[in-house]
Amino acid sequence: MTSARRLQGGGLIDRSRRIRFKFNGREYFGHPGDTLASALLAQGVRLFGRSFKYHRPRGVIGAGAEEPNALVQVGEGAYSTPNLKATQVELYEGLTARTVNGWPSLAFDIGAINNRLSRLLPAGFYYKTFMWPKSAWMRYEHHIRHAAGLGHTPSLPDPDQYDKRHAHCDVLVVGAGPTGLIAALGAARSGARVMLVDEQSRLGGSLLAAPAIIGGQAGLDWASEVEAELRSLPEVTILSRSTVTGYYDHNFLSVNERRTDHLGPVPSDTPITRERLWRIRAKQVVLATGAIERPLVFDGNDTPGVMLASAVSAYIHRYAVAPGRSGAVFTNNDSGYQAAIDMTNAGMEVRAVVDVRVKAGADVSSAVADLGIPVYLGHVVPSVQSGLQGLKRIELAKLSADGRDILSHKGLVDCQILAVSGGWSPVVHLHSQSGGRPCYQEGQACFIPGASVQDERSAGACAGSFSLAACLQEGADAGVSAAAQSGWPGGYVDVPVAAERVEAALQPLWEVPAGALAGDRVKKFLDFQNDTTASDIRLAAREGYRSIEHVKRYTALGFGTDQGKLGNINGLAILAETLGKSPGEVGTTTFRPNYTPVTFGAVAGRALGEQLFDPVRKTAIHAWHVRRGAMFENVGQWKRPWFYPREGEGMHAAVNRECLATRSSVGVLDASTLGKIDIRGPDASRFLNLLYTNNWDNLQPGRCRYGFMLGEDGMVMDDGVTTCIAPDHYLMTTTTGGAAAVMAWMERWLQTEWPELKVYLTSVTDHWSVMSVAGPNARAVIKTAGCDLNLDAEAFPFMSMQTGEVAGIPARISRISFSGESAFEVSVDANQGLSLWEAIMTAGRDYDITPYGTEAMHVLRAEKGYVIVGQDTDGSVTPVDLGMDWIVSKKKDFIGKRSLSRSDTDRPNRKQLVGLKTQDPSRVLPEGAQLVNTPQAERPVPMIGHVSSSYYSAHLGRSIALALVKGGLSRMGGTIYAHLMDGSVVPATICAPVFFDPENERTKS
Amino acid sequence: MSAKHSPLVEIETPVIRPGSDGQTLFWMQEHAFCVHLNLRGDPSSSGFSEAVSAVTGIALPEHPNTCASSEHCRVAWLGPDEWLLIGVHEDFGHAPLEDRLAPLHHALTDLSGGQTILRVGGENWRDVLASACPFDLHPRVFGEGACAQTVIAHTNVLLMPVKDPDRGEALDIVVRRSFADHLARWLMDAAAEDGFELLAPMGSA
Amino acid sequence: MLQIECPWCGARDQEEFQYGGEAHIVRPENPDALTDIQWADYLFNRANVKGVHAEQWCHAAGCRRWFNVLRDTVSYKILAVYRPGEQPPGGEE
Ligand SMILES: [Zn+2]
Repeated sequence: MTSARRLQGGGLIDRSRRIRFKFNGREYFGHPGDTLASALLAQGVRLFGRSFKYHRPRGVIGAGAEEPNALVQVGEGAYSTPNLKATQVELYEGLTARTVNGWPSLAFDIGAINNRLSRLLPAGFYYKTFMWPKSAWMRYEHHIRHAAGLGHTPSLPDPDQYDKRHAHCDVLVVGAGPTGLIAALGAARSGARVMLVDEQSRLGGSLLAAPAIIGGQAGLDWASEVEAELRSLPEVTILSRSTVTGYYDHNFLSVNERRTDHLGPVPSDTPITRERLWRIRAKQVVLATGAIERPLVFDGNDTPGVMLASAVSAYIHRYAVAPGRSGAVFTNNDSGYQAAIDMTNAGMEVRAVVDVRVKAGADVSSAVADLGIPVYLGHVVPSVQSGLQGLKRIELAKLSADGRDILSHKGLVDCQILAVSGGWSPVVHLHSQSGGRPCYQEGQACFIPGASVQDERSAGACAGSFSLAACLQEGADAGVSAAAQSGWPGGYVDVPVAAERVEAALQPLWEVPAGALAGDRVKKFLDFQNDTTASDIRLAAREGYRSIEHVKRYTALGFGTDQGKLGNINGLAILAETLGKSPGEVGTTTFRPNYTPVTFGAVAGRALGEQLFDPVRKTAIHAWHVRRGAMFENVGQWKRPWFYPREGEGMHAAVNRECLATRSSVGVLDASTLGKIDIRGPDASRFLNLLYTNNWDNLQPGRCRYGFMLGEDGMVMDDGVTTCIAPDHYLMTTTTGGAAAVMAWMERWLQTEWPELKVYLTSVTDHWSVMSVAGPNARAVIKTAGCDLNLDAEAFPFMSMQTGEVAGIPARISRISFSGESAFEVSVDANQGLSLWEAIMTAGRDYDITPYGTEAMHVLRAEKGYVIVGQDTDGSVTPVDLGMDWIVSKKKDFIGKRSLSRSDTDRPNRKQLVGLKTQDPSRVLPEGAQLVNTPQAERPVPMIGHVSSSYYSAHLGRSIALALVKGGLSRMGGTIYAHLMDGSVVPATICAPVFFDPENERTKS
Repeated sequence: MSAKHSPLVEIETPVIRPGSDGQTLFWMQEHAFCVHLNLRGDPSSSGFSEAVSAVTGIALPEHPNTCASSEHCRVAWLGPDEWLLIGVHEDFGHAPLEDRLAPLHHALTDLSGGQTILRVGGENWRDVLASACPFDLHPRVFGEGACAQTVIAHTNVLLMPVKDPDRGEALDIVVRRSFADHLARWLMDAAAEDGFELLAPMGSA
Repeated sequence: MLQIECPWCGARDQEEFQYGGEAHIVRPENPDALTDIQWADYLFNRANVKGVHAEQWCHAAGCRRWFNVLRDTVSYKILAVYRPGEQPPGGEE
């Protein structure tokens, strides 16, 4: 394979090195500096893919992010990435790429039959045809999506690593073309923290693709000098291969930095991240994002070989590729002429410059005349003719003065490349995302940024200033003033001289009339990726669509991976014409993040897997649980031991063993995860009275009390035991999952509603390691471990707390129990938690002390009918619903009290907590099972409740369950039926929710 | 006296993992078993700040985001009525302060078991932290004498720039015990490319 | 992602804050004296304004203080921050 179209000299490529790659299975080569598109064009490849809907052959049309056609799947296996633009893919040795939608092959495409049937596939075709009947869409969708096929997602896990980085700067400059470079320099010299972000592999922007003289030197040399100075400044950060993908509130911008894609796959054990998502908060932003050339809209404008004029120039100058042997230009403005000059200089035969206007600018006219290129003023290209390898010739025709009709057919001109320019669209995407409203500029026929809403300004081509001299001046001003506004007034930069051309104005021509050669299948494309045509827009208008937002959704204009960078303005202008409005009145569609696609990997960053997705909180005893082989359960962010299986033991066997050991001898639970809040101050008990439903005035130091906290809506929010340490000092415990929320809730009341209360809160959750030693031998174990307190029930009764020492470690010991056993809850400084746990295990050896996990804890507490907030309650349950009226004070106000007498909260037949005993005692109901009144019921079956907790109780030798049942408290002894997913119906008897030791004899012992 | 185990006891140490260029540009070291006291009170009430400075020898920092230190003790602003006192030595008792504050409405709470200090440094420590910390760590806005409460990888932390006697510019991260292991593992993952060194004693026992 | 000026700590990222809904809703002095409808008004009904909204935020990962913010719910611009108990600047409610 030779590089037939590669120029002998010039270009920003390294001819001394060859890079081999494969495209659609065939070997090619290119050079460092090439993109996939430039290397393929250099070797004469013109066909890059097929279009989405009609499967028409497509070539490359652009040279950057705007490319809609040349979409490729790059890489193999897990490293495969779909829908990359060949114009942006940098070559690396061994790269493999495939066309994303040329199934089964690029040259012969079954989908191309859609092209023959295209009259049957107008705008909205899929909506109209397949949405009826509604239920059938599911069936159609699969086939449509298969036929549509835009690449495929890899089926293997992504082996690459990604990360994120927060950054703060005074001035963020977006785009490193001449405008952005001079802006960054002007800002950075002030000493401000400046970030310069650019999408391409090297800085320079438009200077990479077109020759320019700045301050008497080559444009790229000037750019290199600026870059060198910027890199020498300590507060400047330059990000290349980095796209600002979103502009969010308060000057927060996201940047996707592609760090290794140009190197090829990185072995997964190499600690380099493939992409980095920057999250930048900038004081001031300078947008220097440039402009994108617009295609002209004529029949066959999607033919391979029809390219943007600026892209033709870019391939010649930057990549040293002449994309064909012969060419022509079709333009409505002066800038298109540059392609004719560049093509000629690159050795191509340029056979025509076709200009919509009757008069072109003096400078470009004379330049083209000097080269002997024929110019056809007032002419258009209404259609083209193509062969298997794309464009062969163009039709030439004279345009009427109003631009609406073809006056006369002027013959055909042979050419392989047609460079088109319909004017320029400033890249206003980020300005628009920042909240600005682009406004239409009649003279230049483009949308330019409107008033700034955030701290941003646009400069250069993205602000509608297309001459190099204007770009440099605006960039310098923007950089210096942005720095000053961020608090760094010392910026400066001399604006170098750049040549200005005498230009003639652009003449908008949104749609070229059909010519003499037009058949009955005229197709003038707007959105090349979605195959949206000019007639689709007019059809939408005829069918009553008026808003560009609706037309967009109806015709799919701008929905592709290119986000309509080429087609949207042409589309809205044609809609405007059809509706008899100006483009400004129709307006643009909303520009939304992301500017270009962002990988899921970059979005996820490092927050992956068991360890890093979310914080994993561990207790001080965690390592012991791991060594003991515990299975863990996530409770909030905590890892709690769920059960401790012995060799060969399943979950049920382990839980049964742990429960029986606790009921018959002694068990120990790591209870450190419970939330703990230290409450101090003279108004502490007043505050507790407001927080809890029960009364706290009379709790003596050293005594503990259980309490319910309600939301102001009267629903149970949290529960726990609070201990009085001194009259002005309490220690509250909360649920494990509710700890942070309860703390924030309490602070909020204190700070915003009752600031007069003298109460201070401090979270001490992490300070205390807490272990609950429970069972008939609990006291003996604590004694054996060594304790300086009298542990007898009379001296140390249930619901009391004392401080002392256990195993030589200072401890708070509480007689509280969630298991229904005689229990001692020991709290120590967490640095000594593991030591105490080990001491207790040693002390308990003679009693076969058994560590138990959360599952056994659940069974033990369910046997006692103790609820778990969040399991047996769901935010719609009051204490009364739980049958706990006794805990609700009638005498005082508390948060949520008034809600308990609301008509709905007060009504009979609310769901109430009951116990359930299945009539088959071995049958354990699934939690969440719905309960109904009859074994056989006609649908719809009235649901009267659900199972909230359900276990097999080894101690009782039967299954037990807690359930919320409508009017359940008045249905004791009645039968209720659980209808299960497998179709079976399980009868159960309603009973009191306490299955074990209702007199609390054990807990008090 | 039985053994103590710090929150980072499970992190393997010491260890050196060079980064992609063979260097280690980030180091971490746990400063375990300091005395952490949380103090709440009204700085305008008479005798309050005097009590603190009398016991610690440090003027109570009343300006947000500042901290002050002496040889044995550091006091960091946590809120308009809240401070963290860190005693470097285990014998930094809170009884003398409690005595002086007794007549005032206040809360002095021992959190020594509940949090630890992770000291980080090295050429790239700011970049490593910036992988998951939204706070601006630039020395222009965050230098010695400053402190800030913020988040790193969804974990609440208190940050205090310090001078490490052996290694120079560094940052102390005060983190709750239960989150410490997560934070250390996150930082090691984030520093993989730069290379990192865990200094003894990590997780001293 | 908003940047919110904590009245104590200064400008910080939204990630450090917790939202608390509409500000200046005062808990009734004597809830028992209210009708169900009056109580429901306190409990459930909110202004839900399009435009300038007084709302509560907590600097949850910072100084843990609750405070008030005037924020435009259309532009997301923050017009003012002020401490609990203070009235919004300009006497707006
Ligand atoms: Zn704050």
